[in-house]
Amino acid sequence: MKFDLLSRYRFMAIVAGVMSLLLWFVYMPVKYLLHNESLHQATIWIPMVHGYLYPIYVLFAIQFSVAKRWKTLNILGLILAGTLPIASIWSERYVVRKYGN
Amino acid sequence: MKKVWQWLATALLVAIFLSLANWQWNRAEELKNPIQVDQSILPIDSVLSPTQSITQEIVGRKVSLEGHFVSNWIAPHQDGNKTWNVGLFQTKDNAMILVVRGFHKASTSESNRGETKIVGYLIPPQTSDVADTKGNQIGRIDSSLFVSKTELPLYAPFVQAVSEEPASGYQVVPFEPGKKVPGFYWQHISYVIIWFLFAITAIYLMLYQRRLDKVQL
Repeated sequence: MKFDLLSRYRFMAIVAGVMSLLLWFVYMPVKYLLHNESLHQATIWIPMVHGYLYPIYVLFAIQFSVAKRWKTLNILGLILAGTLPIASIWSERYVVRKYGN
Repeated sequence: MKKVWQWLATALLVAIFLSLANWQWNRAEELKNPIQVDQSILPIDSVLSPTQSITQEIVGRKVSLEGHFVSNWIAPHQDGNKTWNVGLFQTKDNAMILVVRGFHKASTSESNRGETKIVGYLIPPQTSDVADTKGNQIGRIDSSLFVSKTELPLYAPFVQAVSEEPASGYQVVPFEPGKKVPGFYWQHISYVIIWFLFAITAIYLMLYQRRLDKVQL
């Protein structure tokens, strides 16, 4: 199975996107709106997993964008896309359209 | 001049990221030490209402309640495979709460003796069954199990009793009256890693930009 720069970036972009969705729309409402300790305990894995996967996304995003000689601001945008729900998935689609697979 | 600004901006970013990493590191370290809980005894209705969920701030709070026991239940396979006696308690202001009265003993004939005053610690409800149940057993200590059995409002947390007046005769289940700082160690450590990575990324991107500038020249 091919697991080149683009594939690595795409894989982590999708994973980071899913984790961001869970973080923003499951964990944060539970913690800041519901104030329910039991649910908080049940969802605490979400920020932890996101916290450990996001650095991997950042490394792969930098590796890919530097190899493609992107401008620094675009690289920053790609890194920050991993923190917002949908943004990393949207940027993954953009990258696939531009560089194919 | 552009070079100087690049260095300054990068240095500022690195300083911010490292201080954030340090802040998260300190928070992770704090979690290793329990903090002292206020051990003054407050009436339960001054701490939370029956409809309110328990928050981290009131876990382990020492409360008092007055009322009477409505029924007794057995909770097997609790901490260390022990069996506990749990009472469904009706407070004077007509709300229900579960009370861990102590380690189970066979004779419970005199355990519900009218008006009772209880002092104990507030504990969040257990979320999953720890035992298969039959008869008057409950698989977890969770007031939601009793929703269909009473029309009175139920407190979400339960109370782990340290004393009953009149005395119940149960041997009280020990409770460590300390409270952990809210938070999770490995969550803070993950943020330490992220902030360090951001600091390194800031330096790398500055050097990368300078290399791009050189190529363009």
